[in-house]
Amino acid sequence: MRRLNLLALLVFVVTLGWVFTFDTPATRGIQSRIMALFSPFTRAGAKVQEKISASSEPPVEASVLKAENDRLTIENERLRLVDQQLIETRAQLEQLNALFKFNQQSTYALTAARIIVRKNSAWFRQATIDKGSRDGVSSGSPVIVPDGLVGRVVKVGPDVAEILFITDELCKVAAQIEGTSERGILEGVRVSTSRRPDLRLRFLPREIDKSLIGRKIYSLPDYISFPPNILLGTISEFRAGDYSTEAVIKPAVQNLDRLEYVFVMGLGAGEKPSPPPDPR
Amino acid sequence: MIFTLLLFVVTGMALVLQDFIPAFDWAYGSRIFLVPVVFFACSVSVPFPVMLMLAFATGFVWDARNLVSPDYAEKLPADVPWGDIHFGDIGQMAAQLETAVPHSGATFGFTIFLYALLGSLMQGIRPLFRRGRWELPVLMTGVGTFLLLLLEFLWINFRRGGFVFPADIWHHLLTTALLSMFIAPLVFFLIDTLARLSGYRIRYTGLTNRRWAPPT
Repeated sequence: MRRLNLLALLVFVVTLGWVFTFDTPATRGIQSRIMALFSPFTRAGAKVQEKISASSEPPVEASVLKAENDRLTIENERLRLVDQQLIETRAQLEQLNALFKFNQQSTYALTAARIIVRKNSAWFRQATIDKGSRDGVSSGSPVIVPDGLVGRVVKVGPDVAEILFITDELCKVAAQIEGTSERGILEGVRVSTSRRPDLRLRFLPREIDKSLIGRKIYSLPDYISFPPNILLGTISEFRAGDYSTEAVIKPAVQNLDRLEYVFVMGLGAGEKPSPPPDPR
Repeated sequence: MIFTLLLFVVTGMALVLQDFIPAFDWAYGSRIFLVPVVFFACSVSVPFPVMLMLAFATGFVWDARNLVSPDYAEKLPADVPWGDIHFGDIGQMAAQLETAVPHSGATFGFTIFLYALLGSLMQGIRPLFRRGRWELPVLMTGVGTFLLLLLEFLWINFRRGGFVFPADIWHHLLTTALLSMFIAPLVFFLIDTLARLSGYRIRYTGLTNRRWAPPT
């Protein structure tokens, strides 16, 4: 081997050794900067992809669009009325909570985001959304849709963020079986060639009531990482292990591979509920 | 010099394009891995030090874009939006499991090591590529992609604890390698064209097999 190659190898080994010493905050800082660097290309690519797929779709007639618009306008008006009623109900609930000195349940902001890229790493189930730290998205925020939990934010750039789907083994949620006190940890599987893999609820008691098949699974009320009572899935099977039982769970959000829009949960400063009036 | 810069640009473009390559349901959820193919094609056409630089850049950006390193614990206690904190056993356990370092899946920088290792293998077939023989380089691209994914998976298993090796994994690895191999000739053609346009000549220095070297 030539001297130059040996020197290059030496420099490479030393630099690689230095990279291996990066701790998690340093790694996350690098990841955020690289994400910010690539985000204009990612967003531009997503727009091109959108245009290509839109051009391949058959044109929609104006009458159909108008009918759809009318239907959505009516639906929007109905939801505004429901929202108004909910605001009033919440105000009453807060007053009652204050009277009975119950714990205040904070509200959280929901940021609507569009999935622009489904990540292509072989071993992680991720997606990129078009909202980032400038929109109030922060690392660790849960991501939901009306059907249930989608996952959580793992990386944040200024304009984009990456979410880890609940079907990934790294996304762990403390969960409870509805109507029981049975608790376990919900996680994805390490490898699945299925586009819609099942989940596993681990660390259940060895002797568990098999009639619980079909029950729903919710996030724990006293778990810090996710808000309580978010629907996670339904039990489809129990598998007994040596020391504990594992339940196979059908995810509540079945179409993770087709999702277009999600909501990122966070606590916006403007969304914090005002303290209830003093009952005295 | 111009050729080397062009290779870095091509690799950067591959990193962007990779995000928009879909997975195929009919191929066990496999997809074309453009970035490794481009890297392997580049590594047969450049000297060893440049290959190492390319391996470092590609692996670094790949890990920065794809590695998941959960780090929620440091912010949670101060900023919990959903009520008071009551650490239940299972809740605490889940938080610990997902934030524990060995569960981060892989180490930042490990992909750099893999690219350098496999790029060194590709260096051995540089003389063939120069002669215009692409069969072995294309085959080696598939082998390299397969080994890259396999080693990544073994490392993730090691880091997360408990070896899981379902039969599906072989289908996934093989189809991904085959799909990547199919586009390899196109990438080799691109690299070859860029080399000709920039007046670059592939030389036999360093890690070469003497039997394949042309008579001087």
